[in-house]
Amino acid sequence: MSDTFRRPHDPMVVVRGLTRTYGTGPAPVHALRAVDLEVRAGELVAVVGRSGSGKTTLLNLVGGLDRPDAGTVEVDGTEVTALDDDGRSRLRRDTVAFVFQTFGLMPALTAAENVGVPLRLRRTPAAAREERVALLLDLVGLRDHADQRPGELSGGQQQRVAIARALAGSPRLLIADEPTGQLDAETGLAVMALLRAVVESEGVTAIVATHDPVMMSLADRVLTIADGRVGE
Amino acid sequence: MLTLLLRRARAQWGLALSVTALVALAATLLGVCALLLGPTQDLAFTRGVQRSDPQELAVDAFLVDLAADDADGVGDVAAGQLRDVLRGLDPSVSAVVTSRMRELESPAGAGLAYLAAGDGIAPHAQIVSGRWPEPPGSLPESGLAETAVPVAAAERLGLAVGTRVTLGRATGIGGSVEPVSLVVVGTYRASSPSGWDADPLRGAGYQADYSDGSQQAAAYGPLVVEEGALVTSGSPVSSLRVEAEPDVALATPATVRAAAARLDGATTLLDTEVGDRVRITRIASQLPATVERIEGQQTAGRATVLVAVLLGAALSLAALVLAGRLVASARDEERVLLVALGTSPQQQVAAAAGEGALLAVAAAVVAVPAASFLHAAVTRTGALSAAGLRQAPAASPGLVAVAVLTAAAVVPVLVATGVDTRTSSVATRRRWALARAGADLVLLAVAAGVAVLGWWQLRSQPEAATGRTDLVATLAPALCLGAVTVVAVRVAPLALHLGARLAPRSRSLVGPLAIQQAARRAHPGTAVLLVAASVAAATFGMGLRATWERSQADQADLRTGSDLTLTLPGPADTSELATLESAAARVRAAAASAVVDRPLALGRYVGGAGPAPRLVALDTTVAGALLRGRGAPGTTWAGIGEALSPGSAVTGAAFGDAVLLGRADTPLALTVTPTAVVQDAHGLRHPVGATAVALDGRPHVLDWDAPVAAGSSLVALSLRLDGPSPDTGQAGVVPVRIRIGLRGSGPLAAGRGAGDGWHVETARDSPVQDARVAVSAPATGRALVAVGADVDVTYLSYGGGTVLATAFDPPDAVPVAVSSSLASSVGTRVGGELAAVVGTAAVPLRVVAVVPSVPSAPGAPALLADTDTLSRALVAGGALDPVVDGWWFADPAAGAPAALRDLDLGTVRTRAAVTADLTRGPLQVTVPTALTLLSAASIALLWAGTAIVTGSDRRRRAAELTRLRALGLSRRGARWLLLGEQAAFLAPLVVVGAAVGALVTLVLGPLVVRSDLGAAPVPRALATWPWAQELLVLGVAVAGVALVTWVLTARQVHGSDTAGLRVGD
Repeated sequence: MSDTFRRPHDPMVVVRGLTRTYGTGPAPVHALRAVDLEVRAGELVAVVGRSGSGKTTLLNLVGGLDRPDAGTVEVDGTEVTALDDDGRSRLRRDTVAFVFQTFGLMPALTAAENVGVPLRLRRTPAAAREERVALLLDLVGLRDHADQRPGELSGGQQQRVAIARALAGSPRLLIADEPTGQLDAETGLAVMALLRAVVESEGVTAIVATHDPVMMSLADRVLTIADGRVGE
Repeated sequence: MLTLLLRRARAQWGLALSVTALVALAATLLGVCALLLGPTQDLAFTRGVQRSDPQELAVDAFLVDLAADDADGVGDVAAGQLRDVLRGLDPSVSAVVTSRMRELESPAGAGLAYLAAGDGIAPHAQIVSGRWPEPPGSLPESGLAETAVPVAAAERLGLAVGTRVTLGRATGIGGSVEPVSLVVVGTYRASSPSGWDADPLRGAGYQADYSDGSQQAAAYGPLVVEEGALVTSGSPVSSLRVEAEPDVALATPATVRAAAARLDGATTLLDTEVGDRVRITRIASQLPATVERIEGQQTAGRATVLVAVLLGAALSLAALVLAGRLVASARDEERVLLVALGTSPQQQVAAAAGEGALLAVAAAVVAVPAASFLHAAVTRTGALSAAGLRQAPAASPGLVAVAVLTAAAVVPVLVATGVDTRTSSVATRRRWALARAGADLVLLAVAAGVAVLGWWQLRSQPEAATGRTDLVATLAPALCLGAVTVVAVRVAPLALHLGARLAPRSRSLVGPLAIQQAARRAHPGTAVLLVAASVAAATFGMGLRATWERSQADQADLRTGSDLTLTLPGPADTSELATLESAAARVRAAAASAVVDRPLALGRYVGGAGPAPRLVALDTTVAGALLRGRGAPGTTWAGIGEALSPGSAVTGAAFGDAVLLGRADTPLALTVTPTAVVQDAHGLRHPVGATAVALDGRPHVLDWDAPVAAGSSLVALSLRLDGPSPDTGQAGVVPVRIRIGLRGSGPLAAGRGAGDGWHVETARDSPVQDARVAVSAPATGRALVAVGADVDVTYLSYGGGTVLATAFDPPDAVPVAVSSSLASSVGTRVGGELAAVVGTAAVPLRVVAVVPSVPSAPGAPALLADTDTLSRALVAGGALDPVVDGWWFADPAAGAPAALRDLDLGTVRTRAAVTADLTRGPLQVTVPTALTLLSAASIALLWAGTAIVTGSDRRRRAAELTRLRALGLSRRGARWLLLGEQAAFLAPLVVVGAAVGALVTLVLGPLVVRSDLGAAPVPRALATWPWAQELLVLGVAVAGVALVTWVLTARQVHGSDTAGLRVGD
């Protein structure tokens, strides 16, 4: 990870020749074929494409959740593909945050505790953690629901908690995979608006895989992925 | 359907394998229990038979009053009858023919004697000198028939090898009148009390006051002769005893039980066959009682084994239910899909039953051989193998049935848990939810009630053995443990929630999250119960085993009384004392004492049909070191011994060659027969007699009739005066003075022995009155005893008179400690007085202590006294014979028991052997084995339950872990998180389980323990909590759980690295 301050328009994510193939034998699935792309700091990029086109694979590789067969990924000046398991864990803890389609909250924890998980991973002191959690819940409009567990929240509320959790560790890159996939149109719109707002207010870079045209309209740039290849 | 099941099993092979393994484990464990209760118990019965005293298995035919000519024929009939009773056991048959009493023609005195012949004598006797008689064909030059005489008779009649003895007229009608002379070729003594129950003198060889109904006299015998000699002697046959001893190597439960059953009616059959050739016939045997005893011991042991089996079965059932619930949980989505596709409830049931049947078959196929091999391995362990219960792997019908039934139990479990209830109506689901909530409360209430009832049931068990298994008492421990566990596990969530409340204060993730997850996630109640109950059962198994073993050891202590005991076949004779003392010295024990142990005639005893009170007397100065057995709290045997001790020892006067000078102021020829009571260096007293000497004013050297060991001292002197009928003018009271000068070989007694404290006594109605005694020591090693008295010569001629001088004051009463059963039976307490008769002497007793039991007489009415005090009382009462029935030793040298046994002086018992028999004997050893097995099985089920719960959790929480990894949780952190969560879930349950195990052990353990015969143990069992073993059990349990969890969480974390993280969501 680079220690230097990354200015707007500097590339936050640089992908070169990224290739990922699932399976072997007579019918391998080429999820990504020598993909090249760049995402600038502070940019919100929407990745669109049909199911099975390779969107999730691309996001997993960028976020260090998966390893490519070929090519490199550089995030905030760090070559993700060269990192070992601990390095990738540190990357996800300090630099990259995820928002999942199914929210990915811990069912046993309250909303506040879920938001505090990344801060606990960084061993943030309890007072600072509670302050930050309160701020983020305020940001996503769920301060009054801090002590509720995921099962007691609606889908939209859960996704807002997930966004707050993603922002808790002050990530440089936010990766969201179909964040509105399980939400109704109105709730999805609110979540997307929230995402747009936090990208601007927190100054993070975001890559969002989506089918939603509204999300596309809110993005700074839309990348289309088809048959393992990326185009604008 | 089958295709679906097989494909699903292939797809979910891990789940199918783990459930099959769990079911197979449960079936295996219960299968081992079935084998322990089946073939092992049968083998234990056989071993119990084989370890029994041969006399307990022998069958005897007694035929009384028959002609000597008929003896052979009748004996053959009886032998055939006995062989038939013991068929299948290849009995060896022997016989003893006993003659009627004949008058003894001996210079040593009048009396009766009798002959015996047959091959049934030698096995129960031991030659002391010479040999057994030979057949007449090999007679010595004398032409006389040969005989071997009992040592007791030989000593009293002055017989030795080579001397002759003549028997005169037979008693009763029709007896022989021709005397028969025999030459003594050997002396013998009975080697044990057994085998002599048909003998008129019970093997004692001598009885002073024998009565056969026609006359009373001293009796001697049997004089063993060869069979032909008995016939030619013309002696009428008094009895014929035929004894059959089975070959125990052929014993099986079936053959032994059948033999015992055939004894019913055997007497009638024999009576019919011998007809009027015999007046009385009887077939007697301890065999039925022996079978009953062994079966009683088996029942007692089985009851405790069943406690372990029931606990194991309950745990196995809980494991099966857990497996079923987890399978159902894993099938939730699939079931909903199938229901959505139109699967009916009947089809769901059929599918679940089919799957259960497949699992049951697979598990049973594994369990039967596994149980067989595991059982064989268990029987090859030290304790079972040493008890002779080693067995090869075998599949009994019982094993197959138990394994199949246990495995089949998974079918209803899967059916019950496999039906989708979410398709039920809302109302139905609500009713079920309410029912569950209500049932939970009812369960708690019932559990508490069951625990109390179980405790009460155990507490109310009868003291005596019932000979049957009390089902409720057997169920009670399992019910109590289960019920207490149900109540106690409610504490675990509270502890977790308390921990979870502290979590927010921490800055780290793994620990707090683990506790929060464990506290807030729903855990299957079955899993919670299984974990806690497994730990409780494992610790209870160890605790109960320790309690049981300690109780058996306590019982052995009290039964034996000391570390090593020698019980003589009968009271020791004077001639045997030296041999016994020499043997005792060779034992090289830390403490030793001659012991009196015999039934007691107690005036106020109202025991009725119960056992007669026993008198146990020993040297109480070493009671603290010698006695074993737990007494009352706060008391010690040393303290009780101190209360019984006579205080200062009797020293007496040095004993040795003696010269008597007596004078009576009368022309009548009065004589005196002195009998000295000497005390040897070990403190034992015995009489030494001398021939009568005249009171003629001249010195007479006394010819003591037995040698006396150097260092012995005179502690009492009995002088019997006799005289002829006086003529007119000679009658009246005359003074008599007797002086005896002793030249002792030991140091002269000082103090009281020098004259002070000597006491003289005469009977109230005796012709001898106003007796006086003075003892002086004119020179070192010499003593002079002077006795004076006034003698009424008129009455002296009728029965003589005796002066008894003692070197001690006769005790007013012998202090005794009485057992609580005797105290309650006669209604006495400390300070109470009792009147007893020991032998022929009346002995007053004073109660100085009440003890729970007297050593060697657990639970029986008995008294403990000091041998010295008892001996003083007996001597003062005129009973001069030694009172020694055995010897006890504390901490004997290694090898001493075997050496003592080789001397063949009597029955030798060691506390260690009795303890070993009670804890590791064939009829007992299954108890500790089953309890150990319970602990092992509980741990195995704990591990299996943990594995299946963790495995199920792993499948359920794969996505959750992946999300945490996506948030940046490292692999190591993920592993610790999962381990921490499992630890947080399991630790309180392990603690609760251990606490429940300890509680149940402490409260119920002593109530569960029974004696080897099924009665309440004496002394009462005390709860024992073996910390080292418990910590080992808990350590092994926790280590296994940690290992299982580590492996599964490592696999889960590894899975989250590959497939999980790649999929992302």
